[in-house]
Amino acid sequence: MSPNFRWDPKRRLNIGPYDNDFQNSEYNGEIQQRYAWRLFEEAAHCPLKSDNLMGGVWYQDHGNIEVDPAYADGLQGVKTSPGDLGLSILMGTAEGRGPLFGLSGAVGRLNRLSGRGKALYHRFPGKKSGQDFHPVFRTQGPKFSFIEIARGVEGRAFFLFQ
Amino acid sequence: MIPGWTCPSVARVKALSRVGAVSYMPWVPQVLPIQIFVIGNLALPALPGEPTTVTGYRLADTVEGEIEKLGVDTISVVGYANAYLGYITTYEEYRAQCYEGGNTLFGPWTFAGYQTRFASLLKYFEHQKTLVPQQTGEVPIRVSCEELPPPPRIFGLVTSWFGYLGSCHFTCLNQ
Repeated sequence: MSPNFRWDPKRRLNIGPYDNDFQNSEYNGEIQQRYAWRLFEEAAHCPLKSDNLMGGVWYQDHGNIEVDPAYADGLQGVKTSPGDLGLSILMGTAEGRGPLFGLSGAVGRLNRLSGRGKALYHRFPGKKSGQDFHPVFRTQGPKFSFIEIARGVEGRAFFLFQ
Repeated sequence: MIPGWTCPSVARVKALSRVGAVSYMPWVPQVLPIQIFVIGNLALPALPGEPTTVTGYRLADTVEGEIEKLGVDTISVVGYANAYLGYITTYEEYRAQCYEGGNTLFGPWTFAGYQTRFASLLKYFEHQKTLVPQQTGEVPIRVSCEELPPPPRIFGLVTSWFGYLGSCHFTCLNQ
């Protein structure tokens, strides 16, 4: 939870002003609230001079959006994929290290291998665009799957274990 | 397969799974909202996740192309709006598969999907200023309190014991 400006030698990462993460969250929340309130109060003295007011919300299954080729390098028929957590999340970041932080090279190689394996499979004659695979697997590019969270209890960990 | 003692979140999911609470639905919300407000010359496109810097710039470009004729000259992208699905990376960032790419749930075209939807949403505004309820798309799954029973007491002990591995809180709406 940023701003993390203090080094904690015990946890070996940067933390906020307090040792307790919940207190740090509260600290950040108070800063955000203070600025939001200031904006709100200033807005009361600045009435809107335009009648240009519009708004809308749209819900969609984000695991199944047909992408406009204009946003996909001209590729036709591109879709988003059902949700899948990649192994890379276990690496974390320099600011918040995960259990595989020291193995980022190995994780990178696994991701590349996974991407190449999928690409190779699709080139086999007689296969129709990876139809044997669940969409979670075939549409996630180079991501090495950690948990197929979109499949509920049917989801697998590491492509193998349910 | 992953033992519950490794992480409180895993323990919680396993406990929910045993009582059948998570058996029939994905473990991540998939029907999610995008939103846009136009106030005078300011447009606020809102995403249900954490966009990277480049994602924000590219989304602003996409929105700008569609919205210029409405008198908007300032676009400010809003993250963490209405729901949360993790990071939103560009195609190139996703291919790199760093932490943020691994947590971009819906594949390499996740952000392109957002661009597509925002472009479609903005087309509505050429004819009308607000969307009526029937024009808000699909209906998200709603989970009641009965489907998410309170965590067992032992869970609190486990989270405090393994606090350094992370902890989680559960809330639900009474409806």
